[in-house]
Amino acid sequence: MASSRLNRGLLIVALFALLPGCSSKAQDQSNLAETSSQTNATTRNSANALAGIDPATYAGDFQIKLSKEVPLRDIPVPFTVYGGLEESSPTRLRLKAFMDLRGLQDKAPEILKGPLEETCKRQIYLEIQDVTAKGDTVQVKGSARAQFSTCNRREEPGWRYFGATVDAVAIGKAEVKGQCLTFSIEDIDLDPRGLIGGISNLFGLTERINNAVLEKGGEFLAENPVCPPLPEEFSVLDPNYESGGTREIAPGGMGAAIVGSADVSADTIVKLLGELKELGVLEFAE
Amino acid sequence: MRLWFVVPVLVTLVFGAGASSAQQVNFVFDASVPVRETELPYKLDLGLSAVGPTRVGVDALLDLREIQKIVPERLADNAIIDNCGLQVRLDGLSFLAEGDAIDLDGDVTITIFECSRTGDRDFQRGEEKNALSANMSTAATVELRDNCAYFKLLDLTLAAPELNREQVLEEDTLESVKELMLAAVDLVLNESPLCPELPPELASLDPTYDKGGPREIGDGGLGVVLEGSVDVSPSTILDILTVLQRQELIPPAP
Repeated sequence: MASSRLNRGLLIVALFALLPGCSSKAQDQSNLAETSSQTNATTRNSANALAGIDPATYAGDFQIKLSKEVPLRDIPVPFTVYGGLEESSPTRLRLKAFMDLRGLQDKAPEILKGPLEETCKRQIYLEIQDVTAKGDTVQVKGSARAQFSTCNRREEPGWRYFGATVDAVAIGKAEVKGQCLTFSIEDIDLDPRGLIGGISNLFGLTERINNAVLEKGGEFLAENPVCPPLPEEFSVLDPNYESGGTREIAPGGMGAAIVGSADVSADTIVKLLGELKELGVLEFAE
Repeated sequence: MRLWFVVPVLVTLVFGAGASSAQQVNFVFDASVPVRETELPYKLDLGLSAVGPTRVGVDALLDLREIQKIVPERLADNAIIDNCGLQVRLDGLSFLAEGDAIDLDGDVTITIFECSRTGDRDFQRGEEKNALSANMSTAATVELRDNCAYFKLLDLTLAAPELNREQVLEEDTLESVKELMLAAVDLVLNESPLCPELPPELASLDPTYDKGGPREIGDGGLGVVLEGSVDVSPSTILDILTVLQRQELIPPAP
């Protein structure tokens, strides 16, 4: 159940990445990010500097780092989560988490290749070239191949009366709702290719593709919030996540920051102990 | 890494647990009490439950059934009192917890020797003058002092069969043996308090006990129960997690 929850969340981020674009330079950039994060894993001391993650995003009296590969559509995606806890009042703990999503960013084009919509009157296929974080937004470059057709009696695509490929650049943003990140498309810029593209502009079809991507992509993102894989040591505290969103790590790297708090009472502590025991962490005599 | 697979359990627990507010968690530890040159093992069952907004109630049950089994074996044929003129050997001993009391029964052999003074402080044991067997029965209770449980003998009865009693030369022999036994046993018991110590993971939950007493476990099993509480704060959680991390039981810091 956890993994499906997780997968769904990751898929969303990934899906988000699915929205159109194209640039070989950016691809090199994300490869670079990948290499540098591998280096981090092996050289512990300079890890933070290399990872480009500001320790303030997960500062706390107690800190934890989790690294995990999660398969998405059979593609292993590495995730790293940094967490920090500190006492903020005599009855409250403050939680901070920073998720390094560069592994997902790198694998997104591979994971998300596929149809965005496949109905008898409209088929839209997306191809993602790269995903880049810019400040607290995410830019996705790729292309969309759209086909418009008539529907036949069996509700199958009949005569394809128009098809075009458009290069697209989408800007997205994430908001914290509950303990999940909900992505939304802020802006999309479509650039129809070649002569047909020019014609499609004339007929207002670019607008229709634009609307289809916004509508379908937006729907998908709204329905699929990213519920980040936070340490269970956090989950047992049943926290409220109050703010956060995607953040840029070093140049173009995608990450997400979340801040929350949890009420602490005798009851919470007893519950926490019970759950740590369930986890097999607090086990003393056989 | 294995921790990742428990997320569903936790999610269920977190959401499932919300309904019932009266939570209780129990931990069982292996503990031991040093008695003279040896360590006697027991089990400590620690029950924790929230009793106030920032107060966790602690019920510690010390399961002493292992000690109940070992001690009579170790004491068998050992002299409890062994001085110049008097030797008292314990031939059999059995403990039995009954509700809030602990009953002890045993057979003792009392041997009286000639004893002559050979110097200011030196005595020489001589011939055996007399020997008799007696039945000993006593009751013990538990006292709480400085967060530790101390056993204390209440009173001791020595009963010798009529036939043997006639052999006792001095009227008050049994009485003095009894006093000596009480003193000897109390000496040992006072040196061997049960001070339940928590493992480092739970050290920040150091409770203060304010009540304690014997407790029968099962049928006649010897146990001691201590009741107390500990005040908690968010830093209690941080302390526990930090120790778990130091012991590499949960993932490390960045």
